[in-house]
Amino acid sequence: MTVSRFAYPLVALAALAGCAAGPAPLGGTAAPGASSGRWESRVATLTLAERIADVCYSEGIFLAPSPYGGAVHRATEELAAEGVDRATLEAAYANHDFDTTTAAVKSYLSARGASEAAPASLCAVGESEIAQGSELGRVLQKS
Amino acid sequence: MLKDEDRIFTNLYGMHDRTLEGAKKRGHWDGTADIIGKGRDWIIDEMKASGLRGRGGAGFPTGLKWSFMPKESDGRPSYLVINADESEPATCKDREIMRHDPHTLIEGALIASFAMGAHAAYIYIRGEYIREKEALQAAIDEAYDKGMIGRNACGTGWDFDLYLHHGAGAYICGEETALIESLEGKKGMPRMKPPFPAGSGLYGCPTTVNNVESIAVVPTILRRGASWFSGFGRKNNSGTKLMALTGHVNTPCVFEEEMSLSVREIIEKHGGGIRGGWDNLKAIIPGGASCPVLPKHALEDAIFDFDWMRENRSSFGTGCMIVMDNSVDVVKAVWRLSKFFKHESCGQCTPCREGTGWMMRVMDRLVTGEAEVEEIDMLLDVTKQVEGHTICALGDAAAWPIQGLIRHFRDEIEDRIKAKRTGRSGAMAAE
Repeated sequence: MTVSRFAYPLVALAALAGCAAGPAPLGGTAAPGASSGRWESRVATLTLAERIADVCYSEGIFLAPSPYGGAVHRATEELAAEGVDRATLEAAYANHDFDTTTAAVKSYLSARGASEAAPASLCAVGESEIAQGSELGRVLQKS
Repeated sequence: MLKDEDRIFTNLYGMHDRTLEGAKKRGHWDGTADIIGKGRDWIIDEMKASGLRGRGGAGFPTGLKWSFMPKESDGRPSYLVINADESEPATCKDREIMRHDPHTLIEGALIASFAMGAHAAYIYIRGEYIREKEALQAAIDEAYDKGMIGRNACGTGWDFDLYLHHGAGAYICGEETALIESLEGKKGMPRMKPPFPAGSGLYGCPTTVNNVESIAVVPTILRRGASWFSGFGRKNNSGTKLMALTGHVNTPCVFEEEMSLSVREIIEKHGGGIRGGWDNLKAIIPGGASCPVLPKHALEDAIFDFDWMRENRSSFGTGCMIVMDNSVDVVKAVWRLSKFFKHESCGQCTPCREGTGWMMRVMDRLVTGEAEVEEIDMLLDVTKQVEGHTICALGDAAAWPIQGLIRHFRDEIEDRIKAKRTGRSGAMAAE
């Protein structure tokens, strides 16, 4: 399967659905391995959710409650709670190029006709993901 | 330095679980019902004895403020309003409480409201604080679900509702009466005092407005005792405090520390020292944009607390310090602050509305040196005409940084004017 950059957060979906052995997200710079790939994907998903929640709070779209804040910290704690070795996660963080995450988020949004310059378009993506109950949608909530 | 066991905020950096379960593991919500069971008078007396002074900048004694609330209702409800409109430039301490340790604030809101006879409290959170609002609302919802607040809060028989209101981005709404106006749905413009909020505040009812940190420290003070809290810092400056360092330190940060340490110790221990070493320090703004700047020579033995700063013609403010090294054009830095205050003036009072613009325009000229030396005294005179002549403290806040600049850096301003006049551009940083 060829995974485009647009599919970056979708890889997170697949990974968290139990397909962690699949390909690591494109552009990832972490050490090779399923765990680091899952970490990168989760960071991308959470980053995307934050971008949407940042501009859509007036539409009632927020991040769903979590014990931890911040994409990196939250992804790390979530995967650690699932039993992933912390040293692996820390290595993933140390090797990660965050420009890649930013680019992937932009690509994902642009593939859906959305951009951060047009907040309403982000909100539409957020609403759609929430309605689908996707991984991204489950990170968000609409009040 | 403060020992770990004496820290009130044990999740300041968000490394631990911020949910109710996590908060309980760290000792919060422990014996809340017992504290409330000791009664209103005990709580207020204990808060007075702790010596806690308001953490929002003004430093008014918290227990004393609470005691101004009516003991018996005349039919009107009482309210607690928590000022979470943290907008002072360089101040970013309350956000750490709200996003990482929100249950300290919620538990404090319950106890403080009980002590003042308020069945409802409002948290007015800064408009830009999106993540903080999410975290705080999630914690409030969780506290309701688990019976910590709401009807019969914590099984005490006391009904308590907590509302979170999102601001819309105006600095002036951090002023307590403007905040109340905004909360009521009106334009955020300060009210004349008197009447003070304790007599007629939100919806014309008795109201106390407290800063986030002031409320969040209450449960721990009451659990550990007033004498524990008052054991930190100098007399009249007691307690631990969230502080911050921004600017030219090696490690900018927010941290909890005891009051009355030296400025140098704080900068070196928490900030990792000044960029380029202590001798590269030029000046600090101690606790927010409105605090007059202090130069290095005044800081060698400086104590970081309310009284020392006041005695040295500055202000402790929020305890969030801006540090400037010798690369800084301090005239331009203060000009930027004057621009900020001009932008944020609500325009209600003529001295402030016109004066902030005047001050900024003279500062424009001082930055480039395209002014007369006499304009320095004219500017000082304008600051005196604004100071003390406005409904709220924004006029004072706009005047004080300029007064501090002239007091300590007059030579630098004059040199710039003379350099411009003679064609020397050496040290000029104007662009």
